[in-house]
Amino acid sequence: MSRVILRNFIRNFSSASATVPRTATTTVTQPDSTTLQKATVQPTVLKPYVSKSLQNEQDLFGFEKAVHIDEMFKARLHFGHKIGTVHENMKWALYGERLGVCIFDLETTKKYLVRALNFIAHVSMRGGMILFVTSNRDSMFDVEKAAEEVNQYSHVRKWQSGTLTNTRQLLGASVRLPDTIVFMSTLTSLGESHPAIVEATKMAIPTIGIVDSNSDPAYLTYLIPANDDTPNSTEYLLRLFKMAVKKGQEERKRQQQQEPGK
Amino acid sequence: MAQFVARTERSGNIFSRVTGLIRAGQLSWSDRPLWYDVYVSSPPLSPPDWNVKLAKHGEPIRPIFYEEDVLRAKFYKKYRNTAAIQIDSSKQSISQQFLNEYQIIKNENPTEENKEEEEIFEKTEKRLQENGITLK
Repeated sequence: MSRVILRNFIRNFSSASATVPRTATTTVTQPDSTTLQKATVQPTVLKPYVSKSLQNEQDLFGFEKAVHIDEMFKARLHFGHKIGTVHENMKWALYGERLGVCIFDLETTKKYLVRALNFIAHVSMRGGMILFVTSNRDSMFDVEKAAEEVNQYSHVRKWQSGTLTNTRQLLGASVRLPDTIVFMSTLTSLGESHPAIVEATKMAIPTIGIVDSNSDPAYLTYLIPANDDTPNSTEYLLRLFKMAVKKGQEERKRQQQQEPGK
Repeated sequence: MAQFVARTERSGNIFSRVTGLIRAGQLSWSDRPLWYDVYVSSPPLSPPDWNVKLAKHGEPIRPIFYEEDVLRAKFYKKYRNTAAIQIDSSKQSISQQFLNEYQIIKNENPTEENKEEEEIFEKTEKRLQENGITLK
């Protein structure tokens, strides 16, 4: 339980609690059951019903311009593991194999990275709580520090099973669960998927995962195919995540100043 | 909300499970989770399900090779001690200089296309040494 600071109040989960003005709900009625049924296959059909800030601008925070392929290359995001360790479900993200080492297609990585950053920023704008998780010992301190810098949370030690699913037993109180979990590495030192991935999925918490060529992308919501072992790449990705959280927080502050009553 | 949602992570992805709750009336639309709207406007690019086969599943990985690989290999076979490369440096490595020179020499004599590769190799060596680059 080391680094997760679980706030001692009842889950402030619903989007109604977000301070972001929700004009859309007052004008447009809620979707009927047919639309909802369609949405289970194609989520975007619900777009007319969701909040106003998501209606016009696709890339509200400008991440398309903030992420550069040459920077990603310099941060060694393109290096995967040896081909013998490749996961079948990660082959879509590979550009190819150079002398036995998997190489990621950075064009694909950029597309996925921008989407994940956009998600983080929007969640942060709605006052969401973001938890950074890793089991990689090399990057644990960096991850802790990065989370602290943006007033978010991290869990980089041993994952006690039930940390998300059995909070009442473990903590003796109702706690607020994170709204998004970012996995800086999805594998444990034994090469198994991190136990928190399934727990988050059980509790319907969206997950963002840096998936290397040997990782299993199952259950993860937003994938970022990239190198998760090199300090350079972790540093680069953390910098982007911090930027996304900060941009969301700044936007939130700006909106609150505009409409102090809300 | 968390207390209603089915903890059956394999029955569907998080979005379809939450949408199911709204459809069934267990969760009101205004109480939907904070991330729900964001997910709707920019859903994940690959399906977030646990049992899908993503693209290229089971296919072989394409090897990446370049034209100059053969020549570079030849160069390093002969000159092992020239091999050190400083990756961060903006200077061209000696093997790269060799490759450039080789290409220039090859283009100088377009008529003799069938010229032996060995000969061009030797010529390149000579020219590099004339320019003060020692090959070991």
